[in-house]
Amino acid sequence: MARIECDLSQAQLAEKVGVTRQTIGMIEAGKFNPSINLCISICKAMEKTLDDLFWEDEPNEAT
Amino acid sequence: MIYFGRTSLMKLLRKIADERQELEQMRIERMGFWALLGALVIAINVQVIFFDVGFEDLAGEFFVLLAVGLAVVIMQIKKGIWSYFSNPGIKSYALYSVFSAVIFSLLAAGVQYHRSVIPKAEIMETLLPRFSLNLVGLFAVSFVLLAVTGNMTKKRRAKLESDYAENEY
Repeated sequence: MARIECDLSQAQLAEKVGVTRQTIGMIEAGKFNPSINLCISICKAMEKTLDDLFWEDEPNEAT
Repeated sequence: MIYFGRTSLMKLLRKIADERQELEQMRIERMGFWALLGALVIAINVQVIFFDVGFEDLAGEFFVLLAVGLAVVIMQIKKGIWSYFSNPGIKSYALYSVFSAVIFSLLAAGVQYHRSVIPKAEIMETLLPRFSLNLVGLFAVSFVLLAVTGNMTKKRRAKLESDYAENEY
């Protein structure tokens, strides 16, 4: 998981982007769709791109 | 600045909810709004039908209902919002008008039936013409109101579209 690769806990990432830890947990579990602004904040906090974090390849595309 | 102990009022009122919490809060508030509105309508109807309460006794409730309804309509027009299920147009106006006319005419007929001093066997003779008149009248009023607000919504949508249109080269 990208967050763990960045050596960040849910609480640390939540604090960096100004949301609650539950929100980060729910985003990771796919239970909450964040706004594009929050997605960008998360990307900046983790120094990743939107593609790195939020793009999912279709099974037939992942070759 | 107003202080509560060491905490200022500004600090107490500063929003700390994140976007997920705000979204959930809005969902809860929306449910609360419809529950309150529904309960108010039911309370008015129960009082009118079963307790012979007159308009003057319910003026406060009617005022709240009208004020809230009007505020919601104005805010929706401002944002160019019509309804979840349709766009403003003759079909939509007609459908909503029929729906509201039937419901309110039936309610009015219920009140008249309940309060009538005429023997129940003869009541249909007076009730049916009144019901028909209410039905037509309410349909006409609803249709006109919806047509007016619908046209305002359409104009607002056109304005929003032109305000945020992409530059064409």
